[in-house]
Amino acid sequence: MNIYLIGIFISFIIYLIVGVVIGRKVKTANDFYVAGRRAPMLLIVGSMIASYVSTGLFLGDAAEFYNGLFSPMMILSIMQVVGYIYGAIFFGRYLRRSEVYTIPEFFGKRFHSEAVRKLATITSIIMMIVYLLSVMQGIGTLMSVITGIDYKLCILLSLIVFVFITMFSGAKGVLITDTIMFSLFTGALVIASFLIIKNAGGWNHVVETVTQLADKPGILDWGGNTEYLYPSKVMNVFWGLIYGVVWMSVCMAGPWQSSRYMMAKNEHTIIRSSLYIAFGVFLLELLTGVASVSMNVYTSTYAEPSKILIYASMEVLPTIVGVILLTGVLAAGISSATTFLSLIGSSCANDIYKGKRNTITISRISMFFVSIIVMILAMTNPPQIRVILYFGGTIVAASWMPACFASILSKRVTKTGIFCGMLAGFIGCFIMKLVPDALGISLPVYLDPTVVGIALNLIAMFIGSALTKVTPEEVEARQKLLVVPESEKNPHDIKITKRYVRCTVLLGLIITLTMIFVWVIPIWR
Amino acid sequence: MELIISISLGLWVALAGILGYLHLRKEYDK
Repeated sequence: MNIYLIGIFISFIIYLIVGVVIGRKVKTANDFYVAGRRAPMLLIVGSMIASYVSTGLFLGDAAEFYNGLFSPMMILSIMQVVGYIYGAIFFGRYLRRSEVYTIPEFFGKRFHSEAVRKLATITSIIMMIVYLLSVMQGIGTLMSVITGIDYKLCILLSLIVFVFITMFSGAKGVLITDTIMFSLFTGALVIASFLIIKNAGGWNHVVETVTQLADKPGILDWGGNTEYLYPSKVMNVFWGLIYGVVWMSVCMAGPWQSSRYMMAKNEHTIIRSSLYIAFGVFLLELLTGVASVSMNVYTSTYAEPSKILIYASMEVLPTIVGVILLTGVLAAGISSATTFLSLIGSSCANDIYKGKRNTITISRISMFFVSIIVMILAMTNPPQIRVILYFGGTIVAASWMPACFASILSKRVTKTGIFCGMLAGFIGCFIMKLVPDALGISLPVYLDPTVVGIALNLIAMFIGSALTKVTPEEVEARQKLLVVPESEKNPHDIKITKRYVRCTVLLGLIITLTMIFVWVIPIWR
Repeated sequence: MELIISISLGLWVALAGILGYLHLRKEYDK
């Protein structure tokens, strides 16, 4: 048995023990679905970052950085972190205020419409399944490469772990195991990236070496490597901007992100958490970026770029650090899988079954069957982690993001408008993704499914709302949402929360200075 | 160009803080 397999098994046992301990304390539906709405800031920050950082960061994003898209990837990453600030202030607080168990339930309550709730449920479950599939394939690929065990068996083993944690301990267990896993992969990435750069001769030496690579011209230029994704720098930057919007939407409105807000102990926790989450995600992307770029010093022609950090763990880093990093990467995948699965179960029980009794049992049964279906899909289809992951993000941006914000900010939007917008965005994004693939053509970056999906959503929402009238129930539901609860009016809490939000401006300054010192100055030298 | 991108990204984040702050102030000071 190799050392990596031992590390993975130990981590699996720890997660299972934590799942059992927490599961025994889960008594009510409130505990199971929303962790009793008592989660402190640490658990919200840990769980949101862990849900965001799936194997996609360590496999997908690392490959893009390694292949020469440093600048477009940093544009994407920094654009997306803003989604946490907007998501918390303009959507998450209201979600918690509505006291619902699922986001489709929120839409149904806000618009007094079962049709809107059903559509949101269907799109939500499709998004989750798409994401769960991507994560399962990522976990299977990673585990198989590092342990030598068959890919399908790896998927089965990891599935047993995350299905058990989720079914047994619900949202409460997911929040805690997510936070443990977040600590593990964050610590591992900080140490690993420092050692990768140090062993490569320091960051300045890395920059000097990689900028002279003949096979990756412009790897650190403002437009990235023009021989990789698009043949022009402008197009590469445009790609970063488009996917920046996609992932910003995911961070703002993605169900596996915004659902955490329903579990926070109060609205101040939601707002304050967003600052730490934004900083944490920026830092993790930056560390992944500099570590992956630095790997070009060791080998610039690695045949499978998506496994470059696995290669680093096994060949470059000291064994113990490699074991911790790989266990951390696996933890990132499992933490995302637990979140997706718990949301699928919650939606099946609360939005489809909708009974008053035995909802936890229904939720557990649906989690079990969905995980079996996704496992079969993951085993029978070739791994396409990044493609599937980006497709899931596109559905969120096109179908949900405009609806989430319109439901809070717009007085004129109606249930018909929301329904038409969601549907048009969803179908538009599917067609723009599937038809070009079927015809074997590639569309220009400005006709990306996200752009078309969001545009169709907004147009359909506008037309649908213009042709119908806002009902008194919809007016009342929105006004109720906009009233700040008495429990949130403590002047001291408000003062501190406002200070946190002002610190976002400081975060912008920190990001600019970091980019100047890490990127601009070294490449100008 | 690299400098412009770095500054723009910082401003993008700062803008979120300003808009968020204005929205919160409006709601809390009602």
